[in-house]
Amino acid sequence: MYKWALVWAVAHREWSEAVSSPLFWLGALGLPLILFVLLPIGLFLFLGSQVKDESGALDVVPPTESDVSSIVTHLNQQDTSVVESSLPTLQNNTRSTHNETEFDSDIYSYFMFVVLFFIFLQSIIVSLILLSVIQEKSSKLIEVLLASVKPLHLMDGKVLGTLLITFTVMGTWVATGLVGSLINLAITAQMDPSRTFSLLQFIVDYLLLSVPLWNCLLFFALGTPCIGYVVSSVAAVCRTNVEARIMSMPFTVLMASPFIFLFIDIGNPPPWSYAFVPLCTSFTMMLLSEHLPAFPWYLLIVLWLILYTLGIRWIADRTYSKYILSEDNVSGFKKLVGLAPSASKKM
Amino acid sequence: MNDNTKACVTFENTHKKFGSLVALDCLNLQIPRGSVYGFLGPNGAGKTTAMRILVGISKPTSGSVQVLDSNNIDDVRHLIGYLPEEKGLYKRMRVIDYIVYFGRLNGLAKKEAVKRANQLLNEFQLEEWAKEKCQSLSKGMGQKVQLMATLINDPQLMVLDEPFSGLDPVNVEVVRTIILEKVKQNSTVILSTHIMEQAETLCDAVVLINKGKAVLEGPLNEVRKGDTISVDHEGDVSVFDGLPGVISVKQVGHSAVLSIEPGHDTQAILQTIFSRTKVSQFNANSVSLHEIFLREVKQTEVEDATD
Repeated sequence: MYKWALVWAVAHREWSEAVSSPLFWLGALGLPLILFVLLPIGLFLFLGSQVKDESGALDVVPPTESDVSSIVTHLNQQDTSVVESSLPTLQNNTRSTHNETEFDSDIYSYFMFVVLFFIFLQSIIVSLILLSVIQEKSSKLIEVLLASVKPLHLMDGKVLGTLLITFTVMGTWVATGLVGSLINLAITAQMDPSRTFSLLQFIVDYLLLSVPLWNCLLFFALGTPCIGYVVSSVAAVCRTNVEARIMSMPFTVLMASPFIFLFIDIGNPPPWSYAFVPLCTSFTMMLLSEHLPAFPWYLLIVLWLILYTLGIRWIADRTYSKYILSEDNVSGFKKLVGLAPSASKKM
Repeated sequence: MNDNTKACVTFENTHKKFGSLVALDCLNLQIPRGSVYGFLGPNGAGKTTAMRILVGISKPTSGSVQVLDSNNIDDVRHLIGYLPEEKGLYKRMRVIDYIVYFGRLNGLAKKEAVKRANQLLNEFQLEEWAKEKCQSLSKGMGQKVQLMATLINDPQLMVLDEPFSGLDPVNVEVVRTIILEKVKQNSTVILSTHIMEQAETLCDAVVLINKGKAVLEGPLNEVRKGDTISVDHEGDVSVFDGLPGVISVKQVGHSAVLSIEPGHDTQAILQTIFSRTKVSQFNANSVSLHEIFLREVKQTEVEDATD
């Protein structure tokens, strides 16, 4: 029988130990405060007047080709009434084109920010789990823990706890972002009344209806357990944090490899096919958030990720159980590669 | 109340190998309920391996272990309290949170775990330290906290690997009292120790493990069967030659210590000695565990050498 209460107890301990540290809050709140609150305030305070001048200059944008040719045609025909009636439309069109370009650019920056943020969080998870497993192993706590909890439950709890920690970080970033937006709104309204900002629209456009955001969130939540199980078992083999980091490097490099390959134009097969490489799925799909595959393929990728995560969990359980109490030095790439076959002999 | 006629733990042909190293060699044991049972043996004998197997953190290569009437340790994990030899703490955790955490891992609800943790902190007189971080505790206090974490679920079976190591005499007494208290409540305590005097005064039964084998096992009074005679005498060690029932003689100056085989009449041996030499002082004692320990370990080594 699966013991959820034990898994939750382990997860809660991991989470509460992290959030009880002032350093955690310094990291979780410090960066978004600088990015979303202090930086924009600084920009508006020191560059406010320049922003205002530049925003005035932006109003002078070239008219569209069709509008100009229509005016020229009517001018040639001396039809002044049509020209007069076209002028407001022309003005509206130019304003509208200008706003769309600005909106697209905002969306792109936002999308890149979201993707990088999730990738940053997933790399934090690797460090957190490595540290946690090594701490329990080196302090001999693991022996007393395993007398109460099965290794699999302990690993599940660690992965869940780390997810909770990253969701807490996410929550602080969203909250700080919203507070920062409100502050920006107040300052912008004072400095440049022509610029408007709707918090509700921001929430709807950038949080609730943002496909990249939800796609990243889905693949972050599904991909984190996978890498969590891998690094748990790698750390179980090692004795020190440095050793564990070195041993986990091949896996983290593989996990981050979509960064390199997705920016090379390989033509066929499509870039999202890289998502079928185990451990690369979540980064690939996050990076492709704006060019997602058609629904059947998308669903297949999700199912594939779940399936191989379960497989990795099974192998990780055996490796973790076998090595976590061992004090032998089994580091080295050769041993690492030989892990899975030898792991079948459970202690 | 538990049925004391049934064994609390049964090892049946339990064998454990680590590669080519045999850690346990067909161990057969029955540990009675409601007793203090001692695992004795030199370093690397297999005591910790046996303990790890019975708490379920290690699996035997072959054979079986039955704990609290169950062949599946997962079913009874919450009824076992385990204190390993090498003890660790979550340094950044508060003392009370640490104890509560282990309560929750052993199936207690949070409220109940907090209540029990506070009771234990009072019993161990560490209530002032409840909100301190574990890293601020001394070694002795840290061990007390670990023992509290072992006791929080009120276990029916306590497995304590070297519970007295690193403790000062005051804390040794605290731990002894707790062990005896638990046995009064019909719990079973299995402990390993290198301090033979502790085992002699605390254990109801012992097993001596050497090189993975149980070389001697049983209730303490049976294990200690056989006596020693200390004699201050004239002449040399040859006066003891051919004495029936004498296993060994240790002679220092004019004093000798004779180990007597169980079942032999000490009075008859003494009379024979009196007839052979002048005795200025004599003393008849039971064999100490320490002597038995040394004798059995030495005997195993001799047997291994002749094999």
